Amino acid sequence: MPDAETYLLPQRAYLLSYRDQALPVRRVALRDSRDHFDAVIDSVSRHEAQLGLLGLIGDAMQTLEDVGTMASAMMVGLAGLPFYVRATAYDPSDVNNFFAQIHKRDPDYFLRLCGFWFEGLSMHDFFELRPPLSVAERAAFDAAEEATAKLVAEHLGNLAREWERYRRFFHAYKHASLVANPDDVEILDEDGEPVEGIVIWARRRDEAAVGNHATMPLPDIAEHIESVGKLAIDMASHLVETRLGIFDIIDFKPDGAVETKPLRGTPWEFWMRREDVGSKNLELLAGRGVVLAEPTP
Amino acid sequence: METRDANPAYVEEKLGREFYSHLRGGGRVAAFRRAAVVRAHALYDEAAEADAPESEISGLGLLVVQRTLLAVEDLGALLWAVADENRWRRFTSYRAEDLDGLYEELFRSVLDVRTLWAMPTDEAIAEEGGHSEPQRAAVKVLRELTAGELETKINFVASFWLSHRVGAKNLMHGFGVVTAPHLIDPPGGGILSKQVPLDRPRPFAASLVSTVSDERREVETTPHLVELTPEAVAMVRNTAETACDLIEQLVDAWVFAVSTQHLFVLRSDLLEQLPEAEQKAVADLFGDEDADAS
Repeated sequence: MPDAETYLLPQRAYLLSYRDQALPVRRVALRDSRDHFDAVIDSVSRHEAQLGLLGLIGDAMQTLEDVGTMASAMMVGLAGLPFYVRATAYDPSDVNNFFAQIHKRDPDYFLRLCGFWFEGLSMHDFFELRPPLSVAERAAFDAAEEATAKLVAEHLGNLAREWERYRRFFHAYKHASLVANPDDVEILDEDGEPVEGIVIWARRRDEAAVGNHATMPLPDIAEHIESVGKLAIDMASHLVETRLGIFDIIDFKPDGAVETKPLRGTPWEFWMRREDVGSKNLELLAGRGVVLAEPTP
Repeated sequence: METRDANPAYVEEKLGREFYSHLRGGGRVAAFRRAAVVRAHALYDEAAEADAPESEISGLGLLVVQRTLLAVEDLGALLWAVADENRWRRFTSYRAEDLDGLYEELFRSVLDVRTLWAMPTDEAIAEEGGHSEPQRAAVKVLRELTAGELETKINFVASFWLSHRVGAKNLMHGFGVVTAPHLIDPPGGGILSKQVPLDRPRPFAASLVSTVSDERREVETTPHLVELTPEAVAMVRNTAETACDLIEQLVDAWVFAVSTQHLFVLRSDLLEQLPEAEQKAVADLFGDEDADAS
């Protein structure tokens, strides 16, 4: 068991704070930016509407940055230290690298990211359920773990695409509000007719250059990007909850001692499509007290 | 991209057309940033009044801090750009450390707000034809009055950036911020609880920033304390409002100066604070515009 003072308690405080403080405020911020966008979409100033959209993109992409930072730290931590230390050592390449490589990852990667495997061992090797799992029950747990890892891989693949698509808008939001002023800049179609959209300036160029642009109607972009932000919040929530589950079986004594409590339920979270597990396995899991989260569409 | 409301060659020479375009929309950017902070502050107040869990209240306080930092960064980027040539390059390529240096120099009055806000130098005032000596003297008094007000405001904003930048940026780099209840309530946060002075008004939070040595042999985690009491959050919101005021004044000054091909600008809204004699001396220099040229 790692040291309580330097490892377990700081890690626990970080995770609980993320659950109780960061996740609620990310949800509120996303909702607030969406409401603001809806309030300004019909403004006579296209600039005002585009800035409203940029704010929404900013709050949505912020949640993807959270996921990338946290997941990257979980997988590439610092030897002997809890993962929060790596998560709070900012390296701008971490998030880009995490999402850029996600499609290359094998299923084992996601089993480890979900907390089901650690250092080549299953969590079942660390924590024995009481009463012990039958062979069929163990197979059901294995199926649930694989189904969860599959869904997480799929969601992270989608988030990776959106990160690549919108991260420069996010940087434009964070660094000097680099939306091209639509009084002076407009997007033209092949016939030279203006089309609705948003343009940002490229950063770090010697000469001014147009950066990314999006040419969908702004409400469509808003609808899409808000759903992306919600998915990222769900992903962050899952990663945090599944690791917090471990602390349910750790008893911190007032004198600083640490004891492991008997494991009656399951300390980790499953987030999966039911058809990926099968009804028989679902029954077995339910019999062991597993409560399934609803999968994000 | 065309410049239609000003002399294109002059715009290109003084600012570059892209930067000029951005400045023309700068007021809307400031309004966007201001509104985001005001909304976050309202959400904080609502949560506090509704007796929401402390961690949720502190999270909303941190949202005020985060959005304020963005407004202050917008101001810093503009100031960094106008402080030297290659304005567009500077505007789109600055690093956080550049703005640290900028705000430090502003705080220590090494950088002159008169230059940054396009105010006339003594030489320019002397060379401007057609004005009497009392008028020139009064213009200098008005300039100093304006500069003094700007310095007060910029010091307020600079102190926020210099004291909060590292901890507040963390809110945008993964939100590694531990909230007071999880530091204080048993079993506590282990060593983190010993690094933070816990006996203080709540809510507060500790923004964790870790540094790793090149060889990965040494790791240090530093908690940056963020006060999130109603008074502290109101102060942060005031910082954002001040930063947005300064953005508006900055873009107004530069757009007016370049679009009218005046080298310098003085604001007329402080005229009433001039002694009566100076007011009379410069009254003829100002028209009905909010800002007018010297």
